[in-house]
Amino acid sequence: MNLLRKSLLPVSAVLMCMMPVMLPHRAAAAVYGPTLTSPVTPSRLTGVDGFIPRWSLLEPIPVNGLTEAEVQAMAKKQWFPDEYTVIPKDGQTEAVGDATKTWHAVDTRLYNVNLYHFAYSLKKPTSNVLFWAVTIVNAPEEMHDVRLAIGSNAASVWWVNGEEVVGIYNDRQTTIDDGVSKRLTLKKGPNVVRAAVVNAGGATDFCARFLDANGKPVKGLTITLSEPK
Amino acid sequence: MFGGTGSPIADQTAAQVQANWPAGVVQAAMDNYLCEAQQKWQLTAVPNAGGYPGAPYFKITIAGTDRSLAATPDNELAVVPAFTNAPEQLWRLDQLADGSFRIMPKSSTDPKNPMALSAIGASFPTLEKFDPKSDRQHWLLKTP
Repeated sequence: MNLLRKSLLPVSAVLMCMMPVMLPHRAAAAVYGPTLTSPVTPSRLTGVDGFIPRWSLLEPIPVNGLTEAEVQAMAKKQWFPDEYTVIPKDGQTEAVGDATKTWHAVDTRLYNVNLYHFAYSLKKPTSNVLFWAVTIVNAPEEMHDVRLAIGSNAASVWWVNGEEVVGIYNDRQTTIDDGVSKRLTLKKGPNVVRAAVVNAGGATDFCARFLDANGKPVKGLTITLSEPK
Repeated sequence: MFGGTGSPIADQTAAQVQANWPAGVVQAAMDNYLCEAQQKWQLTAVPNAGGYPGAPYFKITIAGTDRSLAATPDNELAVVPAFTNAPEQLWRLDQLADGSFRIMPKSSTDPKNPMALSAIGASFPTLEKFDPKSDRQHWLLKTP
């Protein structure tokens, strides 16, 4: 696994400025542990490995359970308004019960997004928690028969353009392409990918990419956190 | 047995757990084999359903149930509540040179692009155009 991470690092570190979108509100890059920073460019491209390197993450919500029934119930519960449609801005807050949770824009320098680093750096709990994650995948053209391929520690449920497409459950490590959706179509332009990741204890992270009709990673997708004006 | 004492624990059966299974059509998935009831599949030749001499079509059901593996119109897989003899629930088994099997639904009608049962990623099956070089489409059949 360490060898894999080293080999993927140069690819996922590629930065590109392609689209006229808003920059994050922070003047300097925030750091979320050893692997995550706030974005300093308007967009990033997926590299040859296809992994999506930029996400908006909501601070963790306390939950309990990892079975399919438990995680599906968590994913269907309305924790905050517009949880299936919100395109959050960096620093935006949500009222979750009596608590206020903040969205954070992050870039990862690895293939995966380390939620343990994220929560720990914010002095938030890392165990028995639910993370919401959102990103926008801008496709240069309509793409048919692609699949969203994900891995997560632990369980997770995923949506593309509002449709639930894949879920994996129970206590598990992040494995590349652990869960793979049915064939779907990415429309030309922005496509919203949303995830709910649930951790019980210990490390927690996820990775996601699109595979083409031949099972190859889709590279050259432009990743942003807001839709183009 | 545990610690050299006791006796082997019997495999789980569908009768023990199926009351807790979801009703209706469910998505097929893959996982490490743990002798769980939903991981045991029974292949049964279906008479008068077509096929070739010595190679009838089979139904593939969860052992001890009528829940049947079915191809979907979008070339994915589902487990339906009951076997109905429909083409998407009939499966052709062809033994390959390495002893494994290619498994194709009767509903895959394009002879130039036959769709075969395939693993995809680590946890899901699908139907893909058969590629003899892909080990994802070579299935080993073993008695539990």
